[in-house]
Amino acid sequence: MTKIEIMEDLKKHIFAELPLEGVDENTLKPDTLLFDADGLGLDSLDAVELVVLLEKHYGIIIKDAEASREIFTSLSTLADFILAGNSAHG
Amino acid sequence: MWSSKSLGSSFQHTIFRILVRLRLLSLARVLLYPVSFYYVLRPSIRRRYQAYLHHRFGQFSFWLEIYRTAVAYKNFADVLLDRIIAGCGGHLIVCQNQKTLTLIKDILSEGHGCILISAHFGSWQTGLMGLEILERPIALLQWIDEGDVDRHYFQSDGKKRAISVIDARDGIPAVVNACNILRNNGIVCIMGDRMTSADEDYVEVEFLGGRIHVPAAPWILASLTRAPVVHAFSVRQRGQIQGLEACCIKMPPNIRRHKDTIREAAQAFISHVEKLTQLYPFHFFNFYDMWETCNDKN
Repeated sequence: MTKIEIMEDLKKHIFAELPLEGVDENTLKPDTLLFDADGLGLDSLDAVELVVLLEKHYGIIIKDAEASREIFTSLSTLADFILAGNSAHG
Repeated sequence: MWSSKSLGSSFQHTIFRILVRLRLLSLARVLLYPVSFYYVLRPSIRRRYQAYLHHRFGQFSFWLEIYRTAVAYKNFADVLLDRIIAGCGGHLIVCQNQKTLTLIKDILSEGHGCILISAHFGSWQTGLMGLEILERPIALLQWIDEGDVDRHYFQSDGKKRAISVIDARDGIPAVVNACNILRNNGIVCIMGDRMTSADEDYVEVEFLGGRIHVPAAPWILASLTRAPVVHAFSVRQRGQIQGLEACCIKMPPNIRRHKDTIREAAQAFISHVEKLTQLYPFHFFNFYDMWETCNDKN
């Protein structure tokens, strides 16, 4: 998969699995900040959902917790992490 | 809103640490009486326990309030001293409940880890010592406010231990850490009876004849990670820390959109705590008005 395909796939899963009722999918751009009030405004329970989602759909485990803040910045950074595979952060 | 900011100063904690290190345990225990009584005599501090006492016992005289608060504050001081003793590598008698240990072992054999939910009741901190024999990673997920000088026993004894603290203030890394502990078939301990400034999701439950808010996050975490939940408590009795019999709940998946399911689980937990307050009324250590938020709302 290309990065663009991964981001589209991620977006589909995020809107299907996270409680984002009422949020327009078009507002989520590749560089939209996921956990920022001015971005998608996700919270810590959404972070748990993202961790579970990454493992379930991509077999990805974030072993380095400190790196997670950067990985979860946006769709683009998430896609980069998935493309790089688990090894870079494992 | 409750804050974890310590009531006692770092200096006061240090005095007790020195006494414990000098093995003057009896002196430390005796010193707890005037220290506890000093706090009971301070109206602003005594008032912190009034809401609980009134919900638990109804109306009572001023002197009975002084007595009951003094007993509870002394019990609490003993629990804090136990923690210092454990942190200094001193000897504490911790009798884990065998049924609880077997239950947790059975849960861990399923491979999804375990979420241990407890309350500010009894010896909730040193009670964790009884879990160390399981030889699994254990993390206490908690919100630590600025000015909180309290340290857990496993943070101050300098030993390499299986128990660690995950500070919920860290946000995403804290979440990832907790998920990794569960993935490694470890135990994540969470307090289920207090709201913190970080808790955005909550449910309203019945407790001692009133309504309180409790966090929804522990139950949602269990549902998302498929980790079974154990209600676990321990209490200090006759100088020993005694583990109490636990019970297990498995949360259904995807409960985040089903607040009634979360409320049911939280209510079962709080009802368990309520039963314990009937058995051990002066071992309940929430020193703030837990009912205030709901009263304001209503």
